[in-house]
Amino acid sequence: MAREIYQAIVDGILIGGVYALMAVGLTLIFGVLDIINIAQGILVVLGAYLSYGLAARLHIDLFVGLLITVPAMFVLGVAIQWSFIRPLRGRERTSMTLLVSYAIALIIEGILYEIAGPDVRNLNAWYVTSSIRIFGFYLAYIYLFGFVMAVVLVLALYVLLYRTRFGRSVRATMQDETAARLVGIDTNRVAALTFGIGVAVTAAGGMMFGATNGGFNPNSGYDLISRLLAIIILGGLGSIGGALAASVFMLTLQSLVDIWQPQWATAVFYAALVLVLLIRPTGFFGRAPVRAQ
Amino acid sequence: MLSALGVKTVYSKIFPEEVADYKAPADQVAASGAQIVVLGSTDVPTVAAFMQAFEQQHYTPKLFIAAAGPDQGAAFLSVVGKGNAIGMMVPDGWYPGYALPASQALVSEYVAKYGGTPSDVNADIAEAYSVGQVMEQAIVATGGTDNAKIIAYLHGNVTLTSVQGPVKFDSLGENGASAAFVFQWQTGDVFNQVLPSGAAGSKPIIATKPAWTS
Repeated sequence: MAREIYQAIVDGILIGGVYALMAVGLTLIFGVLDIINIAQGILVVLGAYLSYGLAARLHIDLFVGLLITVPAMFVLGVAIQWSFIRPLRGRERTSMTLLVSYAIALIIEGILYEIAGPDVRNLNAWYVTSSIRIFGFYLAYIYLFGFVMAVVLVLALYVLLYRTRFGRSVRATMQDETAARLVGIDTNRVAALTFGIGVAVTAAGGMMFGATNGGFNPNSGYDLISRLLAIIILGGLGSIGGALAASVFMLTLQSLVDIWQPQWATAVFYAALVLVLLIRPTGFFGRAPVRAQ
Repeated sequence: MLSALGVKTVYSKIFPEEVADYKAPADQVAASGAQIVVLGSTDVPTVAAFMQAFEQQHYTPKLFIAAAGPDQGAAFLSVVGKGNAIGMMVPDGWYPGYALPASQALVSEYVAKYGGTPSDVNADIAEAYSVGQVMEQAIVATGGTDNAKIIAYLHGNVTLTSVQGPVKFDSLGENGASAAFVFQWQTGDVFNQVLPSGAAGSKPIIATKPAWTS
């Protein structure tokens, strides 16, 4: 039994890294723009399709392909923010952005169906099915690489937010958009760039999703969004590190429940969210005045 | 029944369909070292996720039977790879080699139009086509599209025809006349009927699944 528990913990940590890559963009966008991007699930799937296109058509390695898909998704994110999110004003802005991001999800899904069709695809490379034996456990390279990438990405975003002039602008906008504008920060530019970065990092999550999920098609994003929302709420809305911590916590908990009662694993996932929020309403790392940390 | 034959169950769990990731449960199955895996999969990604996790764990069961996924023809092969598909088994009522003239005509026309080989043809194609055939016969017999008449007709103990063979609905709406086979992907990218072993069209079963080939 001890071995099963260790295996479940290892699995949970590694799978948590994959979910962190998918959730980080969502929490970053919420932190700055105060909107829940319902399109996050389909953006993950889009990232998977972009990696698939590069691997299948141009034989570009999945991780090398991120050098292309991340900038491409950044441009897409900026374009989405500029075209659909920025024009929304007034008191109904938050609720309207829910509808608009849902519409964006439907548009992207439709385009993917038109281009790629409904057939299931997956991403493959030597490290997707290979593993290394450590302390008696086979650890798949794809999860190890993905977890390292998640940690590096979270650190990079931390440096961006806390060690750069742009990061100060982002944090100022998070705290008080009006005050930020009064001191000369171009909050529209900050919002567009932040949305772009949030979508860009999702390209990495999409690649990992496509390589570990057994397969995906344009419809695969809907199952994701509820889990990603649960993760960023538990981590603390807007908290980059919180997204990683919550991903690891939730997926480890689920893996442990899988050992005894897997039919309850999904329920426990959300029950844990409710329980933690009862004790700490702002999540692991959420703080009302300054959400990103 | 299997227990009476000396088969010992070493792992049996029920998973919700909306499970986030199949790696953790698949790793547990691999750790059990079961010689036969029977997976109640619902689609290609589910069975592909288990296959991927098994390969990562260097575990190949002797027999791997999935409830759905391997019957999806080219869609299955493209996701799991042709080498890994060999030995994968699935129960179903139809396969592209089904020796019914109407079925063979369907497969020929499908391959002529969309390319590929007969083994690439997804079982969903025949199932969807059969639905159309049954509806057509019901509409012709009742003289219209009145739902109540069609329902009464279909539950009236009539035997209809389809590319999947005879169709006769019982009181629960199940097709009591359908055949049940087990199919297996075999060397050469062919999808063969293997059980019942004595039935017409059945090929010898690959009793030990080859190691993963990714």
